[in-house]
Order: sequence, then structure tokens, then C-alpha cells
Amino acid sequence: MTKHRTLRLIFVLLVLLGTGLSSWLIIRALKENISFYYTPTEAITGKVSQGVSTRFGGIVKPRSLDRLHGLEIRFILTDNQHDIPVVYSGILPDLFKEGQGVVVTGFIDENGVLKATELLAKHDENYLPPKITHAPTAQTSVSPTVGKQ
Amino acid sequence: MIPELGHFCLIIAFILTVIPIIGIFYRPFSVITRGSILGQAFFIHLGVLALIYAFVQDDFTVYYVSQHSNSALPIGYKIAALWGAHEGSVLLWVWILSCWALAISCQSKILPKIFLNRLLGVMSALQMGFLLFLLHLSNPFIRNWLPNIDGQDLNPLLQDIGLILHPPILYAGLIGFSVPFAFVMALLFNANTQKILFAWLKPYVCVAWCFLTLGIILGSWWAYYELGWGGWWFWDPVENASFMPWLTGTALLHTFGLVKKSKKYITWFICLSMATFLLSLLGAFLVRSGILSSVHAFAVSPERGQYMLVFLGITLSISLTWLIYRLPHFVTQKSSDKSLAWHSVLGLLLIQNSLFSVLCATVLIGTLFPIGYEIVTHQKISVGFPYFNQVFVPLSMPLFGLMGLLAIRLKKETPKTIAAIGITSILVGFWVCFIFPPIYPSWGSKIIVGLGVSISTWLLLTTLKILFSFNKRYLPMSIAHIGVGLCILGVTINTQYSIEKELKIKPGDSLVLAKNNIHFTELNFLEGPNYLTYEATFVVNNTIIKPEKRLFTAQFIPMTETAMDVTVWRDIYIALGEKLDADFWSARIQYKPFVRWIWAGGLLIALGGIMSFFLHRKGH
Repeated sequence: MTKHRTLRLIFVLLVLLGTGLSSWLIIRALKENISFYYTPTEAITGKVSQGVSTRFGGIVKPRSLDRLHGLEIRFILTDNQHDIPVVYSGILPDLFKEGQGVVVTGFIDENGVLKATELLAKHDENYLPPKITHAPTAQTSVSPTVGKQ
Repeated sequence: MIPELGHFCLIIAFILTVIPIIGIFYRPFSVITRGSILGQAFFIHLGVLALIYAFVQDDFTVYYVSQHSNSALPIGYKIAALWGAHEGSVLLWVWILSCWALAISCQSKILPKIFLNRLLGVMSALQMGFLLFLLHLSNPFIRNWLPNIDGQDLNPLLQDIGLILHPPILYAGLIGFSVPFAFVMALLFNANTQKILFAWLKPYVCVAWCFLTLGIILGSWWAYYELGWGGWWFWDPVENASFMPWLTGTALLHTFGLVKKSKKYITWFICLSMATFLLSLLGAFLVRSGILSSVHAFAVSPERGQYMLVFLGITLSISLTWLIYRLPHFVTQKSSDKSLAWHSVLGLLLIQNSLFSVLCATVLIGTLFPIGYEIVTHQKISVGFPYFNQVFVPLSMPLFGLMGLLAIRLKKETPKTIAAIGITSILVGFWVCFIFPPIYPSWGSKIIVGLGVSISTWLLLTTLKILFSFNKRYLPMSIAHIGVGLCILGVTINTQYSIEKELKIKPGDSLVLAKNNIHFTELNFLEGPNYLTYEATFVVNNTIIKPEKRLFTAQFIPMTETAMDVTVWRDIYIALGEKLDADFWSARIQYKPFVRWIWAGGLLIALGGIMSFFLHRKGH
């Protein structure tokens, strides 16, 4: 082989190696960091395996928020059909309140309690988590009529 | 009356966009192409002014104004509220696009007439798509027939200097990449390209890139102090949406050197230009459709998402078809076929370009994976941010190594010097990771510190060598690369040495955090212009800082105002949680070393771009 060809071969091998390496990194990282998203109903009907970190979307059930000692809280996550009890320790997001949509990341323990590691409340107060279609309480505010021109 | 006039102006601008598009194909029309661009810009400016007027006058009969403003809102925020939500930000998008088109038509003396008309035609076609979106699906001038007495107020999160600056600057960057896109579309008409065209384009790419860089830094800084988490980058889908065009845009900026040397890189240049703008559009689609959950998501609306998707699809397919159809004319050109050594400056630039593309692809995969997964399996998932750290960080390392090598190649240093600098940087890295053990002194953490510090030292030393050669040509590049070095140093140290504490605390309590004395002295209840607030007073080593918990009264939205004690070496970051029992409050207190270095580095990167722009202008 000429020198030119050897160089080209090395180059091609390097490219292949690089592509392989990055694909491996991507696949490995994707495997580890995907989290599934469920509603409380799906969690109750047994789609979720225990002890695996998962995201749950729902609404903080009105009058269910309890403060325990320290920074620990307990509330019930609902989609108006099924409820899951949640415990969380830490600072709550500003928009976290009863009756509001929330996305909880955590895992369900053997007692069926969702141990939350992260709470997300959306910046948009009209936000409902995906798959949740309506808020639990009757909407008191009437949205203004939009006139078409 | 004024809102209707504004609406009408936008309709006129929409009609005017037709002229340059016809001008591409039908020569006689192209006489008025520039006139039409002027007209579009004029009427769009009027439209923007009309909406600003509605905001300033508190015209709550306009639905958009009533939803996003309030009579008690300070005037600056009233104007900035223009781009505080969906409709207005589409108007901002249209407005900035018209400014770019105007800039092109004013600075076009050296361009061949026919090329200019094609360029402006493509810009107008894009503008037409956005104006249609604005008028049809996101009209900010719609009236509210049951007027509110007072507006609903701007989202409190957005009542901040960050909001005034972040969106326009970011958009200026994203939309600025429509210029290279339109440029390559026009270029594909005629295979006899002249180098002068590329020299004309470079300042535009440079300015757009600077805006995008600044926009990303501002967004990061804003998120840091406004969201109350103390993080500066979340790998949120929308952040990724602005970061991907930045990656390809950076690659694009570095290809000008290649194109100047040989015509055979023009194809690559064309692909990068197209990719950059299409990624900007993809970002617009991701934000507008709410298809991915994100902190930036506005309330979801399916038609808007569909429109953006169709618009993206049409732009993508037309430009790709055009590229494939015309490309043979470019490839058949005989150019000098000397093969390139990988360690020559051009070779390194090529490798750098491919690395940037790979990085961009990894971010793209992580961002779009949930969509693909849901289509295939009907299951909603999200890709956590560790994915991005695990893939992006290792793949970016060779890039930083190359940057240093490139600097050395420019000065034609001997292998001895290279080895000396390399060994010095590795030693510095080791020294730091053993003398200052990270917070969690595991091996992984130590290796990260060692690697991060080594790489930034390598980058800084090699670039400083270039800087002190006092060659004006290399000045912008050195400044920007030093910025990258500082940024890496900041990121490494910040991620590995930060301390976070969540506490239950009452006035009178104190604590020590990383040798800083923090004392919670008092808590006051105060009244702001459109909010009520609890203002806490903390003393951090004799400096007084005042984090707040505000309640915005128009919609009763609570809002955390964080406070920081800032020095060059570290921030002490305090965010109030909420009132617990008795006098107790929850609070998040963080020690964030080197966090300012991240943005300082980012600013240097942008500064490099600005300097390059001015040096380039002087050169012509």
C-alpha cells in the first residue's frame, strides 16, 4: 500500500471509531436517563414498576397538603380518578399549590407512597400536565370572550 | 382605532412580501424588490409601534394587552410585555426579520443586482410565512369585547431586566441566521460564485452569532437568579433549541477560512448555513407547539404547533430539494485537489467542524428522542439532563484539545513547546484536584476536576501565546478562545465544588457555609408597586443582602426574588422558600464558586465576535 492509502485507511478507521464511540455514549446515556411519564391511574393499575425513578403528572388534590416536621410535606396527587400519596422534602416551587397541576419525579415504595425527588410546577398558571384533561374543582373564573374581527 | 391600524399595517406588509418572491422568477418585478423590502420594514415598524402604544396607554380592550399588562405595571415592563407571551413574540420575530432584510438591502453595493434580488426574495418568502402565522393564528391586535377594568398583569417571572433583554437579543441571533440561509439559497442559482460574496456575508454571520451568544448567556444568567434553583443551565428543550443553532453557527463562522482557501468546501458551507437556520426554526416550533414539556412552554395550542411544523417541513423540503437539484453544478467544478494534512490549520478547522456537528447531533437526539419514542410506543418519556452531561462533556473534550493545537499551529511552534504546555496543564490539573478535594471526593469527581482544569489551562496557555504575538489578525480569535477556557474552568469548579443547603430558619439564626458567616437578622413586610413582599435581611460576612418572597396582587402569584453576595471567587445565593410555623421560614442557601466565570467567559466569547466584526469592516 502506498503511504497515501495507509493514511486514508487510518482516517476512515478513526471516523468509524469516533462514530462508534459517540453512538455507544448516546445509547448508554439514553438507557440510563429516560424517565417514563404516567398519570396516577396508570400508576395504580400497575403499569409502573416499584423502585424505578419515574415522572407522574397530576393535580395536587385540594385540602390534601400536610406539613410534617422540618421541610417535609405530604400531599395527594390525583387525576380525578385515582390518587397517590406523595411525600417530599425540600423547598416547594412558587406555583405549587392545592388544585394546581404538578409534575412529580420520584419512585413508589413498597407501601405505595410516591417518594418525590423533584417537584415541577409550571410557570403558566393555566398549565395542566399532559394527559390530564380538566382541573378537579369547578373553574370559578370566566375566561373573557374573544371577539373575532 | 390604533390597534386596527396596526393590524392593517401588518396586512399591507404581508401583501408586500409577494413582490420580491415574484421578482426571483420574473425579472421586471425585481426592479421594485428593494422598495418592497423598505415598505415591509416600514409597515411592520408601524405595527410594532401600534402595539407598544396599546400597552403604554393601557388599552385593555386589546385582548393581548389585557392578558399581559396591568395599569400598575412599571412602564419599562409594559413595553417589554410586548414580547412577554406568544403573539407578541411572533411579532418580535417578524420585526427582527424585517430589520435584517432592511440591513441587507442597505448594505448591498458590492453585491450583483441579480444575486441581491434573489437573496431578498428568499428573505421575503420567510417573512411571508411568519406574517401569515402572525395574522392568521397569533394576532396580537384582537379586541376583547368584554373589556377588563384592569389587565391581568404580566407573568411576575417576566417582570425583570432579564425579560427586557433576553428575547430580543436571542431572536436577533436566531433570525440573523436567516441571512446565510437566504444567501446560500440565492447562491445555488448560479455556480460561478465569487469570493467577494462570502466576504460580504461574514459580518452578518458574525453579528448574528454574537447576538445568539449574548442571548444564551443572558438566558442562563436570568435563569440563575430568577428561578431560585441556583442552576445556570438545565438542558431544557428550549435551551437546547437555542444551543443547537449556536453549535452549527459557531462551526459556520469557522468555515469562512476554509471557503476562502478552496471552493471545494462550498458544499459544506451551504449545508451548515441551511442546518443552522433550520435548527432555529425547529427551536421556534418546539417552543410554540409545547410538544416538549419545558419551563418555557406557553399554554399549548395545537394549530400553532401544526402551522410551525408545516412551515418547517416546507422550508426544509424546498431547501433540500433545491440543494440536491443544484449541487451537481457545484461539485463538477475542478478545484485544486491537493489533499489536506490533518494537522494543518485547515485540516484542524475541518475536524473542528465535524466535531461541532457531532455535538449538535447528540443534543438533537436527546431533545427529539421523547417525540420519536412517543410516536412509536405511545408512551410519554423525558430525557433527563444527565444524558446531556454524559454525552456532551466527553465528546466536547477533543474539541478543546484541538482549539489549543490550532493556536499552536498558527504560530508554528515546535513539538517540544507543545509537549511542554501539555505537561504543564496536566500537572496543574492534578495539583488542583488533590490540593482542593471536591465536595464529594470520589474518584469520578476528582477526575472531572483534573480534566476540566487541565483542559482550560491548556487552552489558556496556548491562546495566551497567540495573544502575546500581538498580531491583530488573531486578536478576536484569542479573546474568544480565552473566554472558552474561563468558561470551562467556571463550569468545572462550579459543578464540583458547589454546596446547597435547604433549611428551616428563623430571624436571629446563623450558619457557616464554606467559611462564610451567614446571619439571618430580620424579616419585614413591605409593599411594592404591584406586589406585597416579605423581605428578609441576611448578613453575609458584613455584606447585607435581601432576598424576598413577593405576592403579585393582580393574579395572586407568589414569586421568589433571590439575593446574592457576589465576589469574583464565589456567590452566596439565598432564596426564600415559604413561611412555615411560627417565625420559621424555609430557605435554600447555596455556595457557588466561580459561577461568574461562566458568564464572564461567555461575554469574552461574544466580545471576540464583535472584535472580528469591526476588524473585518476596517479591512474593507
